Amino acid sequence: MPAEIDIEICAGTTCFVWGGSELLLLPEQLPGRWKNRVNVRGTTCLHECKNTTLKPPFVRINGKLHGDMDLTGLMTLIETMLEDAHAV
Amino acid sequence: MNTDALFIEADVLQNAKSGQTVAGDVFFSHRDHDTGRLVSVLSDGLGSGIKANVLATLTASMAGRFTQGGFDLKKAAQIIMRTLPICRERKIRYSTFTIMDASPQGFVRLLEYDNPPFLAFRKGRPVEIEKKALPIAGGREGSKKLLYSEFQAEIGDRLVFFSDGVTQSGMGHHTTPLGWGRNAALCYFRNLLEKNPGISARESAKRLLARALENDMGAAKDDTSCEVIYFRNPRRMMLVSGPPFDPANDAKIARMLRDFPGKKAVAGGTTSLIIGKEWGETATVNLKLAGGKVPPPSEMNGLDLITEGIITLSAATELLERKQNPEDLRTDASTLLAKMLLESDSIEILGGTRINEAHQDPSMPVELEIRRNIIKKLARTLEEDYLKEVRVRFI
Repeated sequence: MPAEIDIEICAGTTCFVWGGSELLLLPEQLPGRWKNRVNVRGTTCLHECKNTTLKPPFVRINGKLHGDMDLTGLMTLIETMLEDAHAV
Repeated sequence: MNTDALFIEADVLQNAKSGQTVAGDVFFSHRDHDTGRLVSVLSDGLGSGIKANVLATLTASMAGRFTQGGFDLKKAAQIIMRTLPICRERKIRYSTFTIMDASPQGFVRLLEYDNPPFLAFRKGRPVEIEKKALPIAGGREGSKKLLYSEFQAEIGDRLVFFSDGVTQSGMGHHTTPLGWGRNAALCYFRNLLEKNPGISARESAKRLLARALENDMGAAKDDTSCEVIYFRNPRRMMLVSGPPFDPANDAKIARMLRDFPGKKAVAGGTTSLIIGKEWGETATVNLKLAGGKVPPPSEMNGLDLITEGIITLSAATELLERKQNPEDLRTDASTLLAKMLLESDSIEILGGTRINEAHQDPSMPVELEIRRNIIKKLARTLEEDYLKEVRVRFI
């Protein structure tokens, strides 16, 4: 069964220096109960360095781009998405 | 012999005498990048510590520079003998040396003075090279006997030079009361080659020194140094970093990389996307190696390594400049890249010159150097400190 949430984390230079290094540790931080529901992968570059509306570091969740992300924010976002999915 | 296929790999390693911060054995190695000629000198200064290091540095650099300059080896040795300062305690001027001058076609000339005789191996078996005694006047201390030899190297040949710290290791131990000895070192090296026929100069020098240190129970009783010269088919590597200035060249660099006969590495997120697009492949980031100072490496079919660009190139350059062994450090993309560079003889670097404006933003939390500068610094370090053949092209 495919995971409910697919997360791509940018491992490119700009995102890494703006805090993406912490985001790349997400797999270690995921609680066991989420592991089958969330798929985390890195990407060499999301190619959004020149995005004028959003700031790095970038992650793409289920195809939607999120900027200025930190690990706490990302965990909260995942939790909300999983709760919403459960409620439906 | 097809000399295009010949590369003379040289690597030196040493351990200072236990308790000393500086070794009294000094190497001078230089590869002329225009002619491909390799000059290498090992000198062991009288005693140990700073005084020995000064004597050996003086000897090694004089011998190296004279040889590079085309001086007659005997004449060079004579000048060195007369120039060395006299030790106040022992009233002698003394520093041993082994000089090797190898042409890119593999013709080797050697001059030895008081170091343990070098080892030579052909097809994995030890061979003795004929030596000619060369007496020279040594000033106040009387005449000295030098040994001269020359031979034509073949692919697969190896030469091993070491200081007496290696042959005298283990001295006083009940199994080796007079020290390990040259013969035991020779047998050890022969067995090493038997088990690992393709072992690199670096790895074989490392193993020999580790054994000498083991003989001394982990605390070197003298400076122990070893240099291995390996006449081999070059191990080639291509490193592509940065997108080409003109996007019309994207397909060209992807094709050059695909057709390259050797190891292939890409340093750069955008660069890896370009290669992936041209090859119809996707990179997978290895998140198991996240958490370090550099972004984690990635994998893609057809490539041996993918790393992020500027941060990783800088980190790899820095560790190579500091002469750190990447294998002694926590594995990350920069140590993997440094290791691959060290395991290659002939390195071709394709540097893309398209600028990523996001990296030039002054509000960036770290200062990112221009890629071109890092590549030049990396190439210089590989050439001068590691005697690699490096070709850089900016595109």
